[in-house]
Amino acid sequence: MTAREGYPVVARGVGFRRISGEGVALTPATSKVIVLNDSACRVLELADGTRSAEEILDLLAAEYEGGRGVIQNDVATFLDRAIAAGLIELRNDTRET
Amino acid sequence: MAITASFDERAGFGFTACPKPARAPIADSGPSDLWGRQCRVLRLGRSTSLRLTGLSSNQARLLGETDVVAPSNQEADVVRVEVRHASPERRERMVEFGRNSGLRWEAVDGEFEVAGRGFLAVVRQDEDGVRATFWTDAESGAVFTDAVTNFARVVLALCTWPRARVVLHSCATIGRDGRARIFFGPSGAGKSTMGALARADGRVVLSDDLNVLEIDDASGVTTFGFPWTGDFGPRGWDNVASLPVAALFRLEKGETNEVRPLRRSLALSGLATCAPFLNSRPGTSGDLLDRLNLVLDRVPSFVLRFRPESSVWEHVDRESAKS
Repeated sequence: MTAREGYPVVARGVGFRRISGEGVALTPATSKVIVLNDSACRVLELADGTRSAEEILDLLAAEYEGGRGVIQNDVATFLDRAIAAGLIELRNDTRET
Repeated sequence: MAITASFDERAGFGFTACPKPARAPIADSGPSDLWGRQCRVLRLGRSTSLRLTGLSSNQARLLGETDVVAPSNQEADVVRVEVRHASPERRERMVEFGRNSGLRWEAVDGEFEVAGRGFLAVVRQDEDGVRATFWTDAESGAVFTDAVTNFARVVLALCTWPRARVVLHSCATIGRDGRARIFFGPSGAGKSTMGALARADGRVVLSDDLNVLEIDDASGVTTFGFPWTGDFGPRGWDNVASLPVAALFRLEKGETNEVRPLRRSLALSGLATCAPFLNSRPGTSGDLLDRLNLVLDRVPSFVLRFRPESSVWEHVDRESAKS
């Protein structure tokens, strides 16, 4: 399953805190400490397991200048890397807990 | 809209989380697995002791020659540890995990399996305290004492957690004002170098390996050292003095000496990277960030770019004096 097909959610066990316009995430499963800018934090906040990647993209496109076509690649790349880092995982179904 | 994130920074040091959930069976197999009937108590910092039973005479003698053996401390949290022979399958896992001299650990349902060179252990933490079973195939030499030491570091990190403390891989020195300066950063950043520079300048080093930060009841943060004080700290188990922390410095080696403020997100991520064991413990990662953030509310943090020369202390002390 790719980020385009599932429902992204912050992975279980991850600690994430917003700090002065940026974010810090701790991923115990992969032993990573990740510093995120404001846009990346917003993706994490929207990734609650109830929205598909496409729906997250729609919301971000409405919030940021540039339009959907401009940010589409950025969001997809970020989600792929976040999944690989253990920061985000994909649910098959929004009913999963 | 640019989305940026630093995906390449590794937490911890010297160990990784177990990649597969392959736990050793925990069932006790009887007293015949014990190495012997000797007991030793190791004091781990100010309030934790490790009581090892089932030691052979030789193992007890080896621990008696270390700096950390102490009389039983009634005020301490006593972690009870049974020392047992390693079965063949456990020995196989020890060899696998210890190949790189690192530590691996895995947490499941409140228990922790810890493995490293020469040992495999399961730690149970519940309302009655902390207990552990420690399997080893080492009875002599540094392999045994190193195995106990590495295991004790993990136990200590676990025991400090309920007490509003954080173990930090760092170098702590005492300034002329009697307050501590904490230098942190990844391996190679210069912690040992700062320890050497401190000693050359006549300053006391609490530890250039592990230190504890404690958020006190007032508005400050204090620190105290462990028995394992690195290359430049004092020897002995009584290294438990508590000192206020004046400033935190994230180290960077450079061509000049320079101190500049450290952005909060980078300070927090840097501290989290240097909080061994706890930063790979599932279930408390958010709490760890909160606790470190509280430390940063109370103590100023800086980037210290430095070259290894004594003049670095002018910069360190000038910024520390402002807090």
